[in-house]
Amino acid sequence: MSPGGKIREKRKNIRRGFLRTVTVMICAVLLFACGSEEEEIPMGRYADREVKLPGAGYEYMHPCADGGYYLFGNDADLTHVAADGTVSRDKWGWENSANIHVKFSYGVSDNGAVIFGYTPMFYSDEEYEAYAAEGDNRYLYYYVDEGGEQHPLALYGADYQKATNLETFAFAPDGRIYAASDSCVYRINAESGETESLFATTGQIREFAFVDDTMLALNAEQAYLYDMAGEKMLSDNGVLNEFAKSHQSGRIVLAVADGDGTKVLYLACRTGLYRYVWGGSIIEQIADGQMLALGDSQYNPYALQILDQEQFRVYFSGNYMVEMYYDETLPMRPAKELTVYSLEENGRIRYAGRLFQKEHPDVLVTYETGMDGDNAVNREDALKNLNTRILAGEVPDVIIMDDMDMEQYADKGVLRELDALLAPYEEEGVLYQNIVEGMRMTGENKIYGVPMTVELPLYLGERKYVDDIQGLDGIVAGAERARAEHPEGPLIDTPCQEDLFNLLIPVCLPAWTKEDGTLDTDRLTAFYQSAARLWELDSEGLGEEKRRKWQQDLAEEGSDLTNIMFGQYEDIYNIGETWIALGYLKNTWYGMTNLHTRMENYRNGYSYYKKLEDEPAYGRMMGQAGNVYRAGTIVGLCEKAKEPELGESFMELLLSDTMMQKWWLEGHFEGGIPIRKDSLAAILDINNRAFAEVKGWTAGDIDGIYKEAFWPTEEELQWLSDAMEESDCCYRAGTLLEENVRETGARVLAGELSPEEGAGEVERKMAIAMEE
Amino acid sequence: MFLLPGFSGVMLFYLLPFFEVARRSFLKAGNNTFVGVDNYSAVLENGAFVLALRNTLLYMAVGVPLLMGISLLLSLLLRNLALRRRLVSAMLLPMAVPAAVMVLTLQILIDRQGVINGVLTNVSEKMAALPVFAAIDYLNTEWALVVVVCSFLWKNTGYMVILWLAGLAALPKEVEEAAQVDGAGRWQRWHYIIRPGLSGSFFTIGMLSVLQIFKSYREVWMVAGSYPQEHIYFLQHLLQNWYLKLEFDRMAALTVLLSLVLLLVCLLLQHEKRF
Amino acid sequence: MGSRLTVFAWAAKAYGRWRKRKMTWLAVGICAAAAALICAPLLMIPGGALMDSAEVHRILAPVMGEGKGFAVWHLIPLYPTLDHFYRLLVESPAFYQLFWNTVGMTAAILAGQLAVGLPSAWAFAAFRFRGRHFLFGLYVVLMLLPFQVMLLPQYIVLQKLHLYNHAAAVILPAIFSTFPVFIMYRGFTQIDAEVTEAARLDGAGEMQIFFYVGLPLGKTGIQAAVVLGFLEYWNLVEQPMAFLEEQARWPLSLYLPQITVSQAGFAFAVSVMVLVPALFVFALGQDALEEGIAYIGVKT
Repeated sequence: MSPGGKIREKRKNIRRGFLRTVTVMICAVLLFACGSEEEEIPMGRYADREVKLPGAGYEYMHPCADGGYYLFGNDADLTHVAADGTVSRDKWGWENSANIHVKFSYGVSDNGAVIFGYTPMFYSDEEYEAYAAEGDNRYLYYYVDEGGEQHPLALYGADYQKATNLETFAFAPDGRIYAASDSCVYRINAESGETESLFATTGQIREFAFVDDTMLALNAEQAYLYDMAGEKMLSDNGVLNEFAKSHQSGRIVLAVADGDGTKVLYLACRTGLYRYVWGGSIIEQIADGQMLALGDSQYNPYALQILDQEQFRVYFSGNYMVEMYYDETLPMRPAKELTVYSLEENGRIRYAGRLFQKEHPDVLVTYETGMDGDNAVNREDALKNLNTRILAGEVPDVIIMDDMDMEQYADKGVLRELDALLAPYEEEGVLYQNIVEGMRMTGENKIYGVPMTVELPLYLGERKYVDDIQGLDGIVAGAERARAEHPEGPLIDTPCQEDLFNLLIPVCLPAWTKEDGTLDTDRLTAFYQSAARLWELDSEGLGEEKRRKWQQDLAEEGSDLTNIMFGQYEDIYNIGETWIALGYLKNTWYGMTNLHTRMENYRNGYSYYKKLEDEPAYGRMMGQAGNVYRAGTIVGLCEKAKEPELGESFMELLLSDTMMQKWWLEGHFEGGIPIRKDSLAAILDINNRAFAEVKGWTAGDIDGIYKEAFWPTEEELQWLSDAMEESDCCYRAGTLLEENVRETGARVLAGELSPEEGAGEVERKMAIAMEE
Repeated sequence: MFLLPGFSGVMLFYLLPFFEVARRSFLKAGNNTFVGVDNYSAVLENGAFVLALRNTLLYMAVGVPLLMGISLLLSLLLRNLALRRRLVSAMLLPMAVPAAVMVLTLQILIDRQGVINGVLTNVSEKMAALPVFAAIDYLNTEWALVVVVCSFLWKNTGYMVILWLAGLAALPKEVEEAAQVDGAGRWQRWHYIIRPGLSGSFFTIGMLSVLQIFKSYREVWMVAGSYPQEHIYFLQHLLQNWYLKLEFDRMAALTVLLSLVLLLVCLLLQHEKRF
Repeated sequence: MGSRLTVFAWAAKAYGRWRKRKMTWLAVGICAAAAALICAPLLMIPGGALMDSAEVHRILAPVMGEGKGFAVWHLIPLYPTLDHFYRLLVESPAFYQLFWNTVGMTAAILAGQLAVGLPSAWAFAAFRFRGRHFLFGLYVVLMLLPFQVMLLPQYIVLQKLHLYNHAAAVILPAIFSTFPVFIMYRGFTQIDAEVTEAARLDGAGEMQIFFYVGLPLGKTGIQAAVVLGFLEYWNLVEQPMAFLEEQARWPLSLYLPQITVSQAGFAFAVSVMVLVPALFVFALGQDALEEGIAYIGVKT
């Protein structure tokens, strides 16, 4: 054999050997990965409970060493809550005449001294211009000593430059005040106002802590250590630096406690509570944020207080505070996990998740959203990711089907049939059964999802324009009448084409599919005709330039022109700006249809009110379909859920009176009318004090409430209840048909396609989709 | 021995997954029951599949030769220039732009109310001799494929120029110079020296052009959506829509078919000693 | 007589030179025109990044189906503003993190591809073993498979390996991509078999041949693979979107907002910031790469 042949032979052997090894390795890895881990879960972990705060409006909390704390905010008095719970308020009074516009950045000391920054009020444009011309938009500051006596602070100092704003005030144990700008840390002399800079930082320091003579100043980039006695910087602490850099989502709050001869620093952030023995080399986690309020991305921790070695208080943004305590009866890590998925963030679900977590300490509730924030992930990408997981067998337990094609997921066996689960509700008659029935899928005649809330289509306007506007033609006719009398200005509140579709598609879409599942092109053509005519009528009085300006104003407000969310412009309060208001009733809380309220009744009212010429009228907006309702927060359970029972009880929670009412009581009024009869009645009850108190609307005289309430009239309530009873035709967003109708519709409104051509194009596209 | 570390990874991250795809192509998505070749027949009998396949083949038939021709011509011109590096870098720029922004610039240009129509309308208005120009909705008419091919060329020309240049650089310079001294003209040098020397590159670049055709899908989708004009409804639209409908079984079947065809083509070409 | 001949000869030479130079200029002209044509639409990006929202809106409104008339693009903004850059560079600290994620990810992938792909490509090019054709064909097919299809099974594998939501979930599969093998293979096949054979006769080991002969001669192929790989991975979108759940681990390419009229200016600014570092890395990297390959070739 030639040498080359030998080498080749050898190589072949090596290759075979290697291949075998690799195969074995891969198999081993896979086996290892599949191996289940059954083990006893040790007991004991941190849990938390909400602390009722003595009022609203607070934005700042200062923990005192004695276990009490101070609360303060722009719209609130300095309030002290002692360790035993006694509340005392410092009503200053002087600040009403002190020309304070908005207060910013507070600092409070253990004995109740306060320092805060503020911007002044300007009573005339000249005054403001004079101020602005100085080019110095610094905050102004007040120092209020422990006796409540105020001292305007005129800060000065070599390094205190123009346009420097101080935030993050802290009273050190030595009595001196420290503060930070976005690039520097300062020490302030409260008597003289002298401000000296101590060291430069990259970015604003958000948190100070004092350990003996050492000051720790922390931001998202670095932990700065400063020797206050020696007045010099200390060398970096790598452990703390690393921690700051790796916990950048949300704030980190600090508190210092005395350990056995050493100081212990506690750090709390989204990922949990941590403990660091001062000078040590490790930071250990003592509580996992995922199972605590800390992990809730809706809140940001603002302050941390150590009560004793086992208990902590965390004060959050949104004036929310919890106490964390060690519970030995809880398993260290939850044995079970409930996974809830929705395409977009849904406050109700997040809230329900917290409630559920509290009721089931042994369950970890994971709420996942497909799209969050401003990034490149679009709806299709998010759905693709969800489908990947479903196909890989990692099915969530509960899916919120909003803006998803429910039929498809039902067809593919992802969703579980709910008829049996819903039977008890039907027997008791607690839900609007007509709405539940409206969710029935035409194909198999089963229910796969049930909404928590609905929104009802509504028209509103002067009788002569809106009288008898049943059906799409009626709307067009009304618009014609209005245009004849008012040649100038918009008719309906639709700055963009998208808005017109947002209004019209829900009340028409259910009518476009024939019984055999094919598209009804005649109806779609009629829809395009009406939509195009409405758009034309609306544009006649507006002109190109005006419309552009209108859109642009809206765009600058930060809203999105091409993708306006439902509800942004369709709330029914702007009758008068437009002659025919079309939209969806999703709030019951102020004046409902708003017909009986008037400008003069509002303190911060709407400037658009025109005087009505005729009697106002309102009613259910009808398009091509029947009594349509728009379903919101549609709950679906998964057929192959890992924890089907937990999914069921989560759905029970969502449909419970507690959830439906409590969510409102928490101050969230948007997003639809609950489909539980008792909850809706409670919300509409004028004597529901708790509810009124939350929003500051009342018929009575509860302390601190300044707005008069305008409850729905008897007539309106009757209308609402009738409307709820007769809604039986469900509109669900997120179907392919709607997407195509919108895309093509834009070209129909622009005049590129005739309504017939438009309908034809939609039909062609849907034909491809059906073939797939 | 050289191949093994790479191959083990390929095995784990590509071959193993591919086998999983092949396995699933015989199962029904959802409940994973064995259905034999049902999925395959479902794919082949599918009207949307036929349409998509036809469009994709047409796209390839137009796009690949154009891309290869243009980039080859450019690289032949470029290869002896001092400015070569700069110019190639400039041509590569579109590759470095995030797809979303690339799509936006494209939209600004080719929309019915876009810049191109604007310019053409203005020109035809200014010059009375020209016929009146009616704005064309490029993406929603037969022009759609032209737009797609143009943007494909726009994005990928630089890419292919790099590859051609790599191929050209490997040709022995001496032979060509000798030929030049012997009085061989441009055409002769191309015919007898360069073209045979590049035959391997032809295959490589052809394959990569096909690859880029497949990859251009995201842009097409971003411009025109899941159900675009009939002429630019490609296999990837079909795949994507199936995925959104959870019909992985059909996707898998289509993929297996596709890879078999590709493998066959590859082996045939190798058999012909084309590379 | 003689002088006349020399004059003729000189003239002929000069004409030849002129012709040659003309051809060169022509070539430069064509190529420059092509490059300009390719880059022209991209000039919108820096302009758009500097426009205020109102201007972008006015320009984009017709394109986005809001308003009549045609879009007219100003290369130079009427009211230039740095708002978008301020928002990006000052107000969003996430930008920096994602930027370094991108850098790290791209570097790791390219390094890994070289380490793994080079030997594979060499194996295909230099050795004749049974099943080579089939295996190589397989590699080509695997390269061509659309990601949409591989998404699910790759996800399952990554999940099993506990890699999901780790940077490695994007990096590892990319390292073993067959794409660079395919390109570098091309570079290696162009090496004369005689050269390697001669080296073998001189008693060089396989490793030595690989380092001494293969690497320096396959230089252009390697370079092409790295350049194209860089472009590919710098703007990687689908894989990180599918395999990285946590936003803090994302690359910059996913930071781009959904493009809408009000976000367009910001999107342009983001893409400038994606583009500029890419160009830098690109310009620097190309030289470094060339030197690096030459260095390896000499040293070993």
